Amino acid sequence: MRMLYIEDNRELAETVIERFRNEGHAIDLECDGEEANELLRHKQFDLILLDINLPGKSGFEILRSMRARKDKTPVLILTARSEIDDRVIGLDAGADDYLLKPFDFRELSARCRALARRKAGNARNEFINGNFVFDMASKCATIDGVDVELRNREVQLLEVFLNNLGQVLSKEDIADRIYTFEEAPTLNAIEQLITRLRKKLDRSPFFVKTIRGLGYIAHVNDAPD
Amino acid sequence: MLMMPRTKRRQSMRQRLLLGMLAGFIAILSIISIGLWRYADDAANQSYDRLLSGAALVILEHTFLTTQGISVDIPYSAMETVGLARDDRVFYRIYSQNGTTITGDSQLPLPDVIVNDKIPYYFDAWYSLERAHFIVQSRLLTEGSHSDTVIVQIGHTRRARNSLRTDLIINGFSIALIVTLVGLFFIWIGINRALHPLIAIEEDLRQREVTDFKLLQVKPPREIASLISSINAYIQRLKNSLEHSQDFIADVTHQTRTSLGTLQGQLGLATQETSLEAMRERLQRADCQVQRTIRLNNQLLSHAMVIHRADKQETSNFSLVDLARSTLEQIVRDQIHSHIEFAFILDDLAGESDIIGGDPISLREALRNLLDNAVRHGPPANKIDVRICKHQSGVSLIVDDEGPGIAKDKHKKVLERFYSDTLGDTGSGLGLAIVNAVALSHKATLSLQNSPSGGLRVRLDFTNGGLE
Repeated sequence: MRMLYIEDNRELAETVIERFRNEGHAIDLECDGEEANELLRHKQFDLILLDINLPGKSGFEILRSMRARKDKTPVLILTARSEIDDRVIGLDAGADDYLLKPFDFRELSARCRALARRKAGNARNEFINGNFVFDMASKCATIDGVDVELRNREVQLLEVFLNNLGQVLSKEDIADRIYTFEEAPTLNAIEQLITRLRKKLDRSPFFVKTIRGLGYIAHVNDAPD
Repeated sequence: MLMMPRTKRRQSMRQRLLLGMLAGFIAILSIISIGLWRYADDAANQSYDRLLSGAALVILEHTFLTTQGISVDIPYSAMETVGLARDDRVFYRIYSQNGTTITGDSQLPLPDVIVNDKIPYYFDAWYSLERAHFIVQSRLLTEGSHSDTVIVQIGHTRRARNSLRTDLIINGFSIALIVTLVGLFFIWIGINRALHPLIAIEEDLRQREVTDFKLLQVKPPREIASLISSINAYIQRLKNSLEHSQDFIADVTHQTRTSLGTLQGQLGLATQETSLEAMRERLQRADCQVQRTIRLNNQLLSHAMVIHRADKQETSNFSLVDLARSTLEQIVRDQIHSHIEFAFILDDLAGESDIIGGDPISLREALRNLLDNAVRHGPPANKIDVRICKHQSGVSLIVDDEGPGIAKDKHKKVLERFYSDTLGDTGSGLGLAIVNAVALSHKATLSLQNSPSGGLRVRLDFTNGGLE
């Protein structure tokens, strides 16, 4: 994976870069916001790690000008600022994820993999994680290469979850997305549907967690590449 | 007279009093001036009228009725009397009742009334381009069976009168002005004496070092005794607050140094280990210590932020339900791999609004800490409930867990910063202190109870509705 790390603290940058290089990634460092912005105009990367407080140009400004250029490279923000507002601004400005400093490298690595996977999966129209593959074109899910045999509704539900990983979805949200007005499902029916999907994908890294009173949150356990 | 203030300050009490007095004196001076003007006018007129009247009487004394008519022999002394005013011009005319001028200036303006016998009549009129003052007086002359009335009109310009009047006014006014200034001077001294205790306090406070928390040592007059005791109470509170922050800084220093010292120790030992296995174990411990240090650091910053925001009073109206929901969602996301069961329970609020006035960022921080505590101190298969319900006069936010709970006698203690029981392997000793600080700034009641499932229940009762 070709990565760009924009960070003005060299000590921190060195440790991160060394570990990514050990994992076999090509990673470049840029310390100045202005120069990083120029570099991004001319060169494509698979993933960008972006600090917020930078000399020259702030991380937010770099991100904004990237998105204004329709550059869709995944961006993971690394910030030491404490306020939640920063995170919101970051995600609103078009970041794909954020991590608060100080961070654990294993966590950073896993987040980067997830972002890269999402990008690659979107390009191939496939969601792949470990033994679990979901082909978005043929609507076919396999675990260890064996077809899971999902019914229509279950496929729709899986798609909704895969498109909203890490987000809480209420039963009503789910009903809105997979049923028409005429079908008017009972909330009980949705519970049963989720139970069935859980059972069928039991052996996959994909799982759905229930939060009573709020809804469901789906997650895919990270599998090392 | 008015002393200029030394620096540009807000209007001082001294100035205010003095200005008030000055206004009073100006009012009195104006009234005196009006009276003075009238008195001076009367006095000047009266004295010069007497001259005119004297001259007229002398002339009338020297009028006779003869068979040829009225004859006048104006004595020199009459004109001498009127001519005492050197700058003034004198006019006269003597005429009979039918208007025939016997002698003098026949063009003199006539009075607009019929002149009675003996009673002199005074009037002002324009004559010869100047305002002049006239007297007319008549006398009935009888010679045998024949009689006629002779009328004397004498006048002079007003210069002497006016100058006398001006002199009187100026003299009178000067005296009044001097009295005023002397009065103001005494008032100035009086005000200064009365304000002296306040000025002394001002000097005392201005010259103080910021670290000087001595109470004010003045013997205040009765009127400001309560002011002084309020200031002293405030100084005392300030001192307590500062001591409190010094304690806090000492605590923080102790905690961070201990934490970093432990880390340094682990790393030092690791470098001395000869076997790779032992070194790895040391490093793993060091890694755990780093995690604790990071958490301590984050909690300290969070505590500082909550306190700072409470001082700045950044408040808005927000929905407690939305806030609790989004905070819980975030925690669930972070705990996605755990076996903890989370629930969000919204009881019937029975018409009570969940909109509260406060600082959503601080409150989110508080709830996050509560949930974080519940996760840390509970079993792996914990059940954590976030509940919003109604109480007598508002809404409550309740967090229940299935952890070990806190013994009742420690409920008060654990709300303090760095209470030793909370300083275990996982606690930073700040979580509940943050919640407590947020509760205080929201005027909410924080209470610790036993949850129905045996763990801890933390309850925040908000009494304030939305902000106005």
